[in-house]
Amino acid sequence: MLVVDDSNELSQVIADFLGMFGYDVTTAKDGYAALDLMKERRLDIVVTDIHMPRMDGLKLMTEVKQQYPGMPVVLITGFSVEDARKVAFERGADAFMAKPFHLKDLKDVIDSVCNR
Amino acid sequence: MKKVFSQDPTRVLCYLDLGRHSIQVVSYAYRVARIFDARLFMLHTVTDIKGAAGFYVPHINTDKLEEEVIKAASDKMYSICHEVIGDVDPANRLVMRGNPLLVINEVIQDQGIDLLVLGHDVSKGTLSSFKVDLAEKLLKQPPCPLLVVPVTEG
Repeated sequence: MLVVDDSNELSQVIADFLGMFGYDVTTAKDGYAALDLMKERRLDIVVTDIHMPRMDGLKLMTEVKQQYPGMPVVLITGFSVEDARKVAFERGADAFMAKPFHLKDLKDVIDSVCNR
Repeated sequence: MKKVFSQDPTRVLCYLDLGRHSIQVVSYAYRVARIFDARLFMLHTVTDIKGAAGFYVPHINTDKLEEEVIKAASDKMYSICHEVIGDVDPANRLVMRGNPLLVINEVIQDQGIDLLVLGHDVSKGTLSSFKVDLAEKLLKQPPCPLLVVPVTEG
């Protein structure tokens, strides 16, 4: 799994948590770093924040869906949640999480997307 | 003055990432501790979000997130210990915040640890899920004798 967030600490906490449940988590700090990592490693799911510098999460999702058709993408945001949710699903997001969230809820969403 | 480690270990610290191979690492550490009749401590560290960031992280209740990670880690450690060892004194199951190397060093000092056990994930090439720089620092200046347990699938 790839977790993309410009807050290294937040992505590390998500990695700490999901690692305890058997997920092998890699982190990246923006969309460009994420796409570079995806060329090197086999990944099953991408979890990304929307608001990031350089390349935002929506643009990253578009690139991922083009380059890796079928790859599930979960979007996270804390800004303008209802607008973001609508745009996220219109553009093909597999799931959406609004900050603040419980890590357990994020895990449940990821479990559900991975088991589809 | 540097401590000289020339006797059998009496206090063993097993550092766990609580990932899927942790049971293998605890099993080995437990066997070693039994051979030497040593006291066995288990340690896991979680990221100190506020301490590491040093600033407010927007849209995130950092206290709640840390609380949730620590609770999950404590439960997972209990479950692993219970499966491998049975009942383990809670004082020997440590879940602490912060940089893993600093915390390991602190526990080694505080508890008088004389053997550190770590897992090495052969498929990923990582030492107990440490980032490369942390693993290098640990291997360059080990705070006490190290025992590395290679872990694999199956």
